[in-house]
Amino acid sequence: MDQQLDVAALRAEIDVTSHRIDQRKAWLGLDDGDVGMLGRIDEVVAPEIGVIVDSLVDDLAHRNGSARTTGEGRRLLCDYFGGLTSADGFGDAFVDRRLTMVDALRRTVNPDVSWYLAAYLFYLDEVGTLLRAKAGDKQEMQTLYRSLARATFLDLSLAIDVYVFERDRTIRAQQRALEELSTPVLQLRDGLLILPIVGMLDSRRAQQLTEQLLQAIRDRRGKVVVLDVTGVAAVDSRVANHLIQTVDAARLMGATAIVSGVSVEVAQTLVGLGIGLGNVITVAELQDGVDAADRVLGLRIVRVDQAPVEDGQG
Amino acid sequence: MKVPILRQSTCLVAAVQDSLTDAELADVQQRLAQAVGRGDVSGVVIDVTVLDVIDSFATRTLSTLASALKLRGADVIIVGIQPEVAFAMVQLGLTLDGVKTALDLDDGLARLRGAAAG
Repeated sequence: MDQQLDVAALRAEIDVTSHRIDQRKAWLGLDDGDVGMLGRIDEVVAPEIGVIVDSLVDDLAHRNGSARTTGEGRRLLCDYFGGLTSADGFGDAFVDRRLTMVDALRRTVNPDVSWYLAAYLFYLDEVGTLLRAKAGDKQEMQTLYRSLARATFLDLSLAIDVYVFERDRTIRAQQRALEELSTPVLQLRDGLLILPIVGMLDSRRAQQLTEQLLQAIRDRRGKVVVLDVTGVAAVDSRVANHLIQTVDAARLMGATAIVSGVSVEVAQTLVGLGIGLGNVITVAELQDGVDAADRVLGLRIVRVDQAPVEDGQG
Repeated sequence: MKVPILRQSTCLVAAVQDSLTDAELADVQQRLAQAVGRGDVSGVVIDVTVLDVIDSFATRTLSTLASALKLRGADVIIVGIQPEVAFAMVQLGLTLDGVKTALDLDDGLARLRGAAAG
């Protein structure tokens, strides 16, 4: 977790390209004129940034009862809010620096998105008060404040990008794990393959699953395939369509496909939607599927003590 | 290139050697229909192992071929459809309904014999 952040890779992954930044600046109306304004704000804010951060930390801690941010976290916050007005432009260098800071803050203080929103609001309030005290007239104060607000919103958008990306990372990892886990093709006996399907069956997975099954039919000379959908929570028209396609593809390769594990709920949903599984062989349980497969293969399971004694034995 | 038609006891084997043009497919259909009339042919295996594309025309030809030969008293079985080809076919909605299929030549001949015996 402590490795150095690779800003270039992060920017590529969250799609914060120079073009996207320019687009955002255009939306916010942030231009080079604002850089000059921020320089003037910085003269007012820089000497006070420690005080602002301290009262910000106190305020937020007081309002939601969390611990005060001190030490390293406080230093990061001073850099973070201080760095907003000391920027000498809003190009790639600025974006890289801000993303690194957001990441450092996330690791140290680990604030959530609402914390960010509250902190920015507090910061704007405080700086606004300072500006009112220092600025010459109302007109000038408004111009300065507008520049600050634009820069703040650009900065906020970067912070939110990092957060959304981090949250999605967990989801992506889980998705990958699920996909890898749930697509084994098992061989039960000569010519009989079992494909247990677990989890959501979307188009991408259905395709991957079908390809894997067809490869297995060729490599292991599968004659009968039991597709077990016990682990599929919801079956709608799209999932049913995927299943029918898989069954058809298996048939083209000379294998008989049997769908097992269609639960009462799933059956009712399908009937309710008016979807028949056509000429697909369906059975209730995996065991029935294996029995049906044995019949197709011409096999029969016989108890040893009831088996007819063959000539030359016993 | 012409598709060779081989005889294996009471079965005919048409082994497609290369991607077929539409005219060549029609030619195979013609020759197979004639060959089935001669002698006691009970089944025809069409081996498409080398084909990497089976389009809607090929699918329709194979279907009509199967129906036509069935009327002449022979069972038809298509063998050797590759995984990628099968996948592409179902994506296009081509399912060769009503035509028998098998994994490869071996499997196809075994099924025809099984059907003849049973």
